[in-house]
Amino acid sequence: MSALPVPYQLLAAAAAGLIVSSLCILAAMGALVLLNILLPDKNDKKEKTK
Amino acid sequence: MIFIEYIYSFFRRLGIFSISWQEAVFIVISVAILILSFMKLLPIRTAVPFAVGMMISNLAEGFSALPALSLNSELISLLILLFFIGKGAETDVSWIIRKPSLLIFSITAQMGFFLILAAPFLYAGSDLPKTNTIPVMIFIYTSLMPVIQEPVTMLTAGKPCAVSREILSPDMSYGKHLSALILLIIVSGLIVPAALPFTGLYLLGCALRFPKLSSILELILWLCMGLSSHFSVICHGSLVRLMALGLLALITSGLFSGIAGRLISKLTDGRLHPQYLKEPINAASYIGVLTGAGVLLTICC
Repeated sequence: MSALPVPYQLLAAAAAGLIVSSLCILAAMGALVLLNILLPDKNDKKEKTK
Repeated sequence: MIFIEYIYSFFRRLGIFSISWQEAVFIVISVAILILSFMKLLPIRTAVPFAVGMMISNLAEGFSALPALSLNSELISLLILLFFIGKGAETDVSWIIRKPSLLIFSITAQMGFFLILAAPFLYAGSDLPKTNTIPVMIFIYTSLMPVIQEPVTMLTAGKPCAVSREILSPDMSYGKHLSALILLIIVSGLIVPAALPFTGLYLLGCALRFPKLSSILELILWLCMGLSSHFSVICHGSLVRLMALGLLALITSGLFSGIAGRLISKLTDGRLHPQYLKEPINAASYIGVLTGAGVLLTICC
């Protein structure tokens, strides 16, 4: 890792952070999907405007 | 004779004689910021307190020596955490709860944050004073998000072309709202515990309705930012670099969010377009950046 040139090390650090953080968001997304399946909203509907 | 000496010493200490040319330049800059914000070219909520603080700091350097108002103080950390509650309290996350796919905007908001702003912190290891710097950095970043990232997103996404749009019923049971927020706090805590002071408090704010809180705190915090903006601090290279990186990161995140918005608009035949989704995109961006801040703290400290 330390043998890599600085720009690549920066990119690697940023990519690692982004991946970990995105995993957390994806898990949150999954949890909300599950919640919507368990507690569905009956009022939701699609309406036309204008 | 003594009387004349007192008068002389008082006059010698007048602000006008102790001001340096650099301080004078920064006072002129703060006046310019005030004029621009009164002309509505800069956001009043952030620019006015900042400019007033900057003017006071450069007029009376001693003011910035007050430890409670220094950006590293515990009081400022507490105010920043309260600011996140306030931000949550003025956001409506019901769209995100109903359409979890909108959390994709959390990931696009993180892209600029990680690729540009956080990378030097992650790379530099423990050389930087992160514990103190990161909350302040996150406050500035999230506070400027609606000012910079949102317009870039809307500009990139273009205008909606469809005649129909999707409208969700505004009614959502408080039980479901609360369960969703608790679920998000648990998921966030299980994966990135260091993000909880930020995301947890933001989501707690979402469960409340107290919209004025964040405005008051934003005003106080930007005033403190201004009070810490003595020319000697501003001219310090690292702060200018951090500010430039932050602006670039916000623009990059805006571009990515705009591209994602265009994609979602195409996939839904224009029913879901960023122009209709300003609030959910903002909320998703906050969640994304605050989670990112937790990851940054975990990796760095």
